[in-house]
Amino acid sequence: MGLAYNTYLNSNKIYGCKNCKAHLSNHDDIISRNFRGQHGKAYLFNMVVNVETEDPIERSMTTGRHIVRDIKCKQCKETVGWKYDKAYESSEKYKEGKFILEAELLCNVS
Amino acid sequence: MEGQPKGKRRQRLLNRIQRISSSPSLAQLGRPRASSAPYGTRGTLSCVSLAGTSPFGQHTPSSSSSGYFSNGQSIPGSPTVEFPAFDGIETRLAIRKVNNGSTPCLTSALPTEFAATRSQSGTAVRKLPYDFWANMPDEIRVHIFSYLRPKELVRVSRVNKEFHGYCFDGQLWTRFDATDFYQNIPAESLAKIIVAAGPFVKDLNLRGCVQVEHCKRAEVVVTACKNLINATLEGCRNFQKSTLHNLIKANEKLANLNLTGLPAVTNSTCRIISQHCPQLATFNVSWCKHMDARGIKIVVLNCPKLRDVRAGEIKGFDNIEVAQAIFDTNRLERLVLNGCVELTDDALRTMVHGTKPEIDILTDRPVVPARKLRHLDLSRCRHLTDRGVAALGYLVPELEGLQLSGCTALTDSALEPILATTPYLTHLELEDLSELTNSILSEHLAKAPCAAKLEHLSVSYCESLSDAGMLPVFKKCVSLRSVDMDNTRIGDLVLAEAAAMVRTRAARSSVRGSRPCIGLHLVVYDCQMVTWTGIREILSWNAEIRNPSGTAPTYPTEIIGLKCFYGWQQTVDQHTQRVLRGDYSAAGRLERKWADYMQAVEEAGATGAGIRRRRRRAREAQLLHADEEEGGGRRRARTVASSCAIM
Repeated sequence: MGLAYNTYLNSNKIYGCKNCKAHLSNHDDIISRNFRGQHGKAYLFNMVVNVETEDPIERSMTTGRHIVRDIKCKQCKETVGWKYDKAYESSEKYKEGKFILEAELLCNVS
Repeated sequence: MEGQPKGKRRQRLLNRIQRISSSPSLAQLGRPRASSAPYGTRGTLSCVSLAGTSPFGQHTPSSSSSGYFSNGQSIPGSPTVEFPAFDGIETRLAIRKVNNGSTPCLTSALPTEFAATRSQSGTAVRKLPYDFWANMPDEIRVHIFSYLRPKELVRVSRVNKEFHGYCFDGQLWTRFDATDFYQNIPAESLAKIIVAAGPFVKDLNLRGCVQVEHCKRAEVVVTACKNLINATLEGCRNFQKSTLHNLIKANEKLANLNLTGLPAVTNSTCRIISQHCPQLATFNVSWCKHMDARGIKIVVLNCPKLRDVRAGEIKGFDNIEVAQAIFDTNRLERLVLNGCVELTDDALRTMVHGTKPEIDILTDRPVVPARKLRHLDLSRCRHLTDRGVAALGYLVPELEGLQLSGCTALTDSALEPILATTPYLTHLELEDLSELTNSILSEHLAKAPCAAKLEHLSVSYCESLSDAGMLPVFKKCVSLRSVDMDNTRIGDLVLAEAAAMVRTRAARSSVRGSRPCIGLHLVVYDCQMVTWTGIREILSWNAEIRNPSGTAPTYPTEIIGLKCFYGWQQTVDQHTQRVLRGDYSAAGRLERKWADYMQAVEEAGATGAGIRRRRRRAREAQLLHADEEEGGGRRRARTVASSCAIM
């Protein structure tokens, strides 16, 4: 396939993979920070770059049933969070297509 | 030829028009087509062409005269009408009138090359064609090329050898910035360009170029660059250690070096830098896993001009010698140690006041010269406590930026001395410090000498902070440009206060068409106490057209940009867009409709009674709203939030 290049973001405050510091998203793309993941705090982002998605699975969370895909950093293949494909509850529909990144697996690269 | 009577010439001319066929039949004309002239000069065109028929002797003087415009010396009264005949370029013909007598030629010049080749006789006075390109001095040619971007330069270099030479002229490549094309350029081209530019390159940015070293061409690159001043090799993770060392050894003038994230960087790299780069001013080695703080110490001690050190997540900062070196040299203006979890209180204290300083009896403070630090980033240094951070007080008078996010053990007492003694503070980041209380804001920040200058404040996730703390801050810190208060206990009062502050500080404009700009960014999502009424307050103040009685209405020049609960964010964004366009009435309509909708939602309650009525009202409101938008009928997906304040 060739060399895999990273995308670089331009912003004041960029979040990156804790392991390899690949850029993942901007501070401005945060929709909410009031989420909890397997490792503690998690943030909901509008857009992330440099990630690969895995196959969708159905999971039950505190807010209901969802279909999610785990996302991994493209460079170091560490799981950094998940992406919502579908939410069964109508009040959770806003999450569809958005990404959750776990705060523990992120670092500030700016 | 000139002597022939006018009438006879014309007659002959008209005869010839009819005889010419439109297809180029050069055999009749008796002149080979493939002449050196690029345009087939004697071939006839499908349009009227009179040039081809007359014999050459008669022909050429007039043809030569046709080449020169406003040339008073051309043979006066050239008899034949001259239609410069070149194939396929009819559109460029300038039709000339028949020249009678002394009227000078009126056409525009033919392309100079072929006008020269066309003229056969030397009798006509000729102006030599002017080859602009060849006669231009080299510097101007290079200047023309300097307007092209790197990718275009590479493309243009394939035109011919001369252009190839110009395109790879070193003067065009003093700044090599691969940011736009690092993903597309193969390693050989990269190497070729850098080698061609060679010692001219002063500013090299290879961020993200992982292809360098894949072809083992980096050696060539490294030997070519000798005059680098700025070098950014962030993300070139395939760079080898020896190559990097050679690069540094060859470039004595390096001033700004960015080696973020390179596994090739070790302490010996730092040693080489300290020996070979005396001009080093900024040094960024964040996340270099194979080096530690001792390398930083070597560089700090030996580079007299070093001002800016960024060493995020570098291990070994508990080493007191490193701290002592930083204290002794006292040259750093920016020190970034975010994520250096090993940093201890003692090391920080040593950095600030050295080991065992003399303590002033009266004030109980160390007597040492003040630090020159302007910017200090200690985020996520988890082991720091009040004892270490409080030592910064009184000793960093020029501090402009301070980041202590994530140092969770800190309390108010760490910040009190700092806030009291840093009059130039503009950036303050205190995220995730849950031990902070309102008094640090109301008693200390609001009354601090830096209050009027503070521009950026971040107190996200400080769960004990609430209105009582933030209200005085908004009253006193009038230069604020961005405030992050998400995940705190602030409420609507703070939003109203922020709106009032912006209103007071911003000039009003009387010009109707003037557009405001965003003067303050607020981040308030995830705050439980913020309700839609607070948001509405801000929106209404953003779009307010004040109309004091008797005078002209005034319009806002500065508004607040808001990030809030996702359910309302779309409305807020739409409102802000309208205000920024200057469309205050539409913004006002949107705000009123949204307020009606939210009130209906509230009255009806979460579930049960009135849910149908509420849904109907919601649908009506949405339809009304959709109608009144320009471009009408565009349905926006409105979140039917059953309860506003809850996630």
